[in-house]
Amino acid sequence: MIVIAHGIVGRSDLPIPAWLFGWAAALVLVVSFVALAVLWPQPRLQDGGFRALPTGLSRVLTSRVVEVICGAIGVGLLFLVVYSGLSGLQVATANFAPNFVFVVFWVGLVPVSALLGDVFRAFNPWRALGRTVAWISQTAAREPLPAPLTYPERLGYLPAAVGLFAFTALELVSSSGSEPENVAIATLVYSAVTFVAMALYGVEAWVSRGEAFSVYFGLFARLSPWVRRGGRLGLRKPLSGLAAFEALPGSALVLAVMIGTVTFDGAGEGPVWTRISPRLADAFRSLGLSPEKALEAAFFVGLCLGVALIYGFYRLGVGGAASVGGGFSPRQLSRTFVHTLVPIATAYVMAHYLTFLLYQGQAMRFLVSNPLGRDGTDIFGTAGQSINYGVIGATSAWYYQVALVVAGHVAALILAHDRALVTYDQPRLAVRSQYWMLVVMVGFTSLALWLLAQSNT
Amino acid sequence: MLILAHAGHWFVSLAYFAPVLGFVAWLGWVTVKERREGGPESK
Repeated sequence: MIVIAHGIVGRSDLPIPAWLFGWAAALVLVVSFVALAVLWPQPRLQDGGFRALPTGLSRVLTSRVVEVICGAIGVGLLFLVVYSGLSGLQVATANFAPNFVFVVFWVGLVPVSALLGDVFRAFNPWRALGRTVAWISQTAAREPLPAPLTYPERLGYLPAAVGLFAFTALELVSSSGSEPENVAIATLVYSAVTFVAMALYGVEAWVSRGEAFSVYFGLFARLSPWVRRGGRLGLRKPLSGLAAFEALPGSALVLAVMIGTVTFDGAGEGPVWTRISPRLADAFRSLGLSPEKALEAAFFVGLCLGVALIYGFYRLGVGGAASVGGGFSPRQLSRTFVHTLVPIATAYVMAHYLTFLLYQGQAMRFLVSNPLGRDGTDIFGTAGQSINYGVIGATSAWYYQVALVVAGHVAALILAHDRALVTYDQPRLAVRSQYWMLVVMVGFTSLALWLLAQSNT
Repeated sequence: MLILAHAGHWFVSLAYFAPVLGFVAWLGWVTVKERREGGPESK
């Protein structure tokens, strides 16, 4: 229940009812589906291709110096979040810590990753500190120091799913989750858990599978045409990064958390949840919880339901696809098509938090000059600036949101179609399996637009 | 009475999901029809 409002204002001048946009979006998906069946007879994304940047530029961007500088910036920002959270003014909107973590980091880094690639990997403060400690230890020992434990294969992305769920629970469930001091404490706790895990399993093993934010931004980065391969930077075919995604245990759960928590956040702002939540809270109060804890428990149940709804709907879709034949189990198809959820997650995050990012993101202009929110501090001379709420109108925002939702789901359809062509040996079965994926995509599109309309009610 | 009082909200919400409900109904009908005819793989 973040104090910082999502900056959404009501629309009033749409030419047609908002629900008709949902019908139009469904029509776009059907037309895309037919066009793919006719015009895309062979898989095209499995071979991603690679066009390298000029050697000099690539060498500079991937150099150790740039890596150290980016890591140092990440560590500096981590310390600033903790320091401002603990020492600054305990007002969410006037303190650097919650604004940076919930706006710039959690939301702002999503479009950056989708456009430019895995930027977070370069700035990841936990990875930078872990690698530094490992380097110092190995230099002192004068021999390689392997990790004490091998990362269990069966865990896959499950620790990342738990980490992401815990973070969103802090943001959306805890009544004091956006208080600067709590943000700083949560950052310290997460850092401690990450350092212990890296010490046990090795820095890269934990960062690539268990560290929640590396997995989160790494998935979005697979949408980017930019990639680092064999020590060189270059371009690959759009969407081919996702076609190459290797599904591990917990992949579907991570994506269900990513989409489901946004779903709950959207529904939580609308009239349906505002009618249900007091009754749920009353039920928890009757069990002896205080009013505050009862409301948090109700929101926790809502968050779990949001994730369960998305996971269940996806499993229903792949269950339907398995029923058309081909000898695949729903579990196999769940892993086969799980990468198609990434553009949907991107569409959900970008559409839902668009105005939040555009409005609240401007707060960084004055917070960089006064990160602690104390009177009289003005480091860069921008402390007096304010948020311009005229940067985007409500109707324009709605059109951008609809466009993002439709684009994300069309991208998901393309990925599913391309994967079906390499999965099924009979073209007829490939197309029949995609009827079910089309239902999943139309369902997620309808849900996304309904949620956006709920937020604007 | 509460449900009736908020019927407008429910109908508008239902309108958003009409396309997916239509798809599910159509897919269910196609699946049942194909099973009666021997399943999609037999074709």
